[in-house]
Amino acid sequence: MERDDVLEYLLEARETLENIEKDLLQFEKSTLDGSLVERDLLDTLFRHFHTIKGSSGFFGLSAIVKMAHAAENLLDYLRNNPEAQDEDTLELLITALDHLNELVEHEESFPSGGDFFKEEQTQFLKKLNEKNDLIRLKQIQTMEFAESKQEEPEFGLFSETKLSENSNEEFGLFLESPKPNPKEEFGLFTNDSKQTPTEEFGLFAKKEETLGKESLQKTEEILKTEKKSIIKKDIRIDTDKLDSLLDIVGEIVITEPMVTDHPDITKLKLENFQKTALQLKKLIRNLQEITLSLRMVPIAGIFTRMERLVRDTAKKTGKQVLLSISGEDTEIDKSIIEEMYDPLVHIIRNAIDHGLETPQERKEAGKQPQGTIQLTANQSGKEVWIEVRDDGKGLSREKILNKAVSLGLIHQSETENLEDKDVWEFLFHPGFSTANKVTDLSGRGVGLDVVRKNVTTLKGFVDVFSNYGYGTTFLIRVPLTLAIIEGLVVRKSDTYFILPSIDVKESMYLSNEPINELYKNNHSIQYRTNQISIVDINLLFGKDSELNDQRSLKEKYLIVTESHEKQMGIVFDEILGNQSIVIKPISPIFKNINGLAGCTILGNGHAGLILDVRKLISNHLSSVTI
Amino acid sequence: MSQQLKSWDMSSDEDTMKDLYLCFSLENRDYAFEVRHLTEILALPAITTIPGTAPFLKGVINIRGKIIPVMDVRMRFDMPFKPYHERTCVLLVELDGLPLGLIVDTVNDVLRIPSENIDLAPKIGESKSSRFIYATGRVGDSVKILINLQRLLTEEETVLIKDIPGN
Repeated sequence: MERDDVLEYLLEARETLENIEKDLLQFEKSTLDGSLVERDLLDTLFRHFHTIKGSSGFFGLSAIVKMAHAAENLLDYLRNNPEAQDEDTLELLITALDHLNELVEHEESFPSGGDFFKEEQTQFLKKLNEKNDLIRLKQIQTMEFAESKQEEPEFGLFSETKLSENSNEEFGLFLESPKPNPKEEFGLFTNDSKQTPTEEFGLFAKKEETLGKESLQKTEEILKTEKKSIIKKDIRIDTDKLDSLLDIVGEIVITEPMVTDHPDITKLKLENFQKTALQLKKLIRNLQEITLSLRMVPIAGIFTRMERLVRDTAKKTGKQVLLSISGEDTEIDKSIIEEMYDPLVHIIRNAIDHGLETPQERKEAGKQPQGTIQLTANQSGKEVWIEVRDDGKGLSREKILNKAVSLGLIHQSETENLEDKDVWEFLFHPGFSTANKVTDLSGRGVGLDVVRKNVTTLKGFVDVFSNYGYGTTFLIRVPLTLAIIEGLVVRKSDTYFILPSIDVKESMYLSNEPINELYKNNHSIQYRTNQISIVDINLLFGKDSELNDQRSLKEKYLIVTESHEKQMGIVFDEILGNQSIVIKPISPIFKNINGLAGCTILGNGHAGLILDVRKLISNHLSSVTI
Repeated sequence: MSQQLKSWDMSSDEDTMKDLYLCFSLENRDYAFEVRHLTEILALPAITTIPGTAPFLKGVINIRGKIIPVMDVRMRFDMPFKPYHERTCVLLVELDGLPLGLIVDTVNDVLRIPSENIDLAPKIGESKSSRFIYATGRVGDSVKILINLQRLLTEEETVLIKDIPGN
């Protein structure tokens, strides 16, 4: 078996396992509120485990097969005996899922032919199998007992549901859609009467034979449902292919103005050409948008993973937490989504561990015993806003200020005048933790500073808002995509540079402005009401500035850039215009390059260098003072 | 020493490529490296210089949509810079998955140098450029200098780059 195939399958398996997790959490909800799990849900879960089992068997991953098979057995029992569902079985299923995840992960990094690699796993499998045996035993006993009057309970089931649950509703449903409801019920009924006997006999007579039959039946079922879902589900595309598509579209976007505004034709009056050129521009714009959207996936992927986190954290802390999720359809670049996982985990853990009170405390504060965490995403312009809002006790201004003073971040006398907003800022300081004791959830010193760092590398922002006694809100703002930016293309001698449009404030013609030379390599210019530092790109990369030679400055352009309210002017020879730029990484061979954010390919075939303006400004202004 | 040679040989798993070396010249000296590293030979395209790097890293080039760094081998070997001319070539190689372009004066040919004709280079001092050389290969009357491509990208240049002010 090719290793690549296995890897591809494991990726698929991970997806299925994610689905299982989602469904199990749903399962848990119904277990907790005492209702029975829906048959559909059980079927789906069964199917997922079955898929894992079948495909893993195909790849010879025996441990995964065994584990999935045991879970499948348990689920199958639940399907026939829904009343047996309890927290114990739920816990077994969840642990089985965890082990499966572990096995898949292990197989990805250490291909071992799919055997168990931990004593814990074999132990658990044993436990799960014992449980299944126990159930089977019980089943046989009750079966023998019930054999004589087998028909009765089944009729009972049928009539019961009909009478108690549906008699009223059914009319309502009937009016709306007369067909599906009876069909379903008949299906359930016939299915049951057919299946239960064979299956149950099968279990203690000839296991394999019936299993084979059953799985055949199941695969058919799976095929049917999968076909249905494939239609609306996505297809897997190699990211390399996507990237090259993005590259080409990027090049088209850049070449388009070079063709339609070609210097050879600018002087000509070509009305029809202009019309078609305009049409082409529109199409290219559409093409670019669609290509960009290919990389976009709904944020639901990581949001649902948070459910599990909330469940586990709530259990550990003994708090009651309701996670409400909205806006999970919001789409965002896949690479950004992956980077968002850790920050979100951190913030949500914090919210449960520090933010929310215990049920007792909440009652005393006149709140519901169950705390709420709202996880929301929405798109705002070219940004996605992700909000984590809890209704816990909120941030204590006093506590944070005390801590800040004790760390020497601020003097006691200054604390009075600080706005709340500035107080919360201290939370992002490395090593800042107001937790009284270190728990295994938080307070280890890995704090919000890491969250901010992660988000900042994505060119995003984190803000915190809090109302003491009423809760805390974290707002993360990240750009929709990192792959394409709007940039200003400029030239300095033979090299093309790109300045991200976000950082550019203004561009102007330099020759009219007086330049003040403070001393060698340090020049400034009057910009509006300020004197700002101006530099030659050479200077930023450690060579002497060409600005020392004032004569060469004729007909040059000054681009005023801004980052964190600090401004700096950079001198270039020519401005080529605003374009959409496809960002490509710079080879790791160039180590220690600070001022570049990446490369791109321009329409003329040259590679262009994307300047990291924020870094340039902060590096330069810390070495030069005006 | 002999062990090193062995490991070098073992990594070439493709029999057809075995013992094949690409020869190029710098300053009338013949150098060679294993063909399996080579992906393409190109005429020199426009180079975009990257400011603030070691001088022998000339910058990046665009090869059909891929941005690839290029190194002037002559400067890497501490020879004086020679202006590029129409026969200047870029040898595209891949080292540990990283593509790299090597700028050389002239490309000669591909030769078969059987391993019995290869002698490990004598250690003559710790001169900087000698560490790129791992052996010599006898081809008829001439001798080719065999270079270890991986060494072209070792730690040393990080120090060089750090030395540049502004970094």
